Amino acid sequence: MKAVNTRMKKPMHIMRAKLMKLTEYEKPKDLRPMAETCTVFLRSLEAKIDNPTQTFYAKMCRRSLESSKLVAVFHNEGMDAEDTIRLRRRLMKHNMDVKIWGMQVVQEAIHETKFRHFEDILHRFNLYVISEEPAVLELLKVAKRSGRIHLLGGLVEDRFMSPKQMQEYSLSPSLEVARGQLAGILNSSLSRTHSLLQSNQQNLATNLEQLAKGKVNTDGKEETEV
Amino acid sequence: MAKRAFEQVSLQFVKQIRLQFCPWEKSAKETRSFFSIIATNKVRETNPNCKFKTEVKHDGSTPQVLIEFDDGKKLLFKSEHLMCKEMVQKFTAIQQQKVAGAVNGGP
Repeated sequence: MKAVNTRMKKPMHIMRAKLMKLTEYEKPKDLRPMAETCTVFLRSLEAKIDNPTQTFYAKMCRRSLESSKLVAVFHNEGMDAEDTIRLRRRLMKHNMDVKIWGMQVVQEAIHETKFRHFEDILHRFNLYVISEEPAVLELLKVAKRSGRIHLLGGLVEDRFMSPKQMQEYSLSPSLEVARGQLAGILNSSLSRTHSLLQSNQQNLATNLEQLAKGKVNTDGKEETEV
Repeated sequence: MAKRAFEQVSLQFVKQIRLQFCPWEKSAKETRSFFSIIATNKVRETNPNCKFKTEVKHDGSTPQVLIEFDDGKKLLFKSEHLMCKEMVQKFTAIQQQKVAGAVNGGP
């Protein structure tokens, strides 16, 4: 029996080898500059595939965003599930809720809504707090206590705010108190004009009174002297 | 390689880490990822004395990460054009150098 070498590949026939070499696929040369080829992400060029799960979550996200008066975006600094639960428990006392949504879900949810300005600060490590009442002071207190989350921005009563503005907002008094203060300011100017208008006459009256008293006194003195 | 680098992150020999970024800049995203990876509980446990300081600025400044080591040396990432992966690789490389130095120089 003739031994067959199965380990070494038998060389091709010269004609076949030539044909194989000829028909080999040659990639067309990429004429783009190096910088462009390195930066272009080919993945983004692919057609987007509809993801029903994502759309569902995006709908839920949009609903909860639109139904809340206070939306705050935080930078999450390595909080794990346990820390998040602790934070949620603290915020629940003030009727607030912690939400952690994926970046793509939020992107889809806020597309062409009033929340689209958040697009620049979206990040996969973001953490969102929503509430039906604009209780900013409590939120800031809890966030400061936790120390692991940092406020990036928020939407309070349909108004976009930076952290500094939110702090100022939290320190401002409630609407009723502010109304009272305004009424006080208006009243004070009214009373001032009233007093200014009357002051001349009152001055005159007091002066005349004093004069009259003086005359009486001087008359009396004269009488006694005579 | 990258995955291995992420697993090897530890805060041994690190005294303090300072981060400053403006969230409205697009270049800050990678820096935020880097910091979120470094500040997880698992990594924090490697050195409980390490301090983290984050400064959120709203003036369009470029992101920066300043890492201070025990021996007074500092590592500054001006991370406007850096990827998260690159920063982690560099950080772990320096960390490993320090570990090797400590093993050789120790008793």
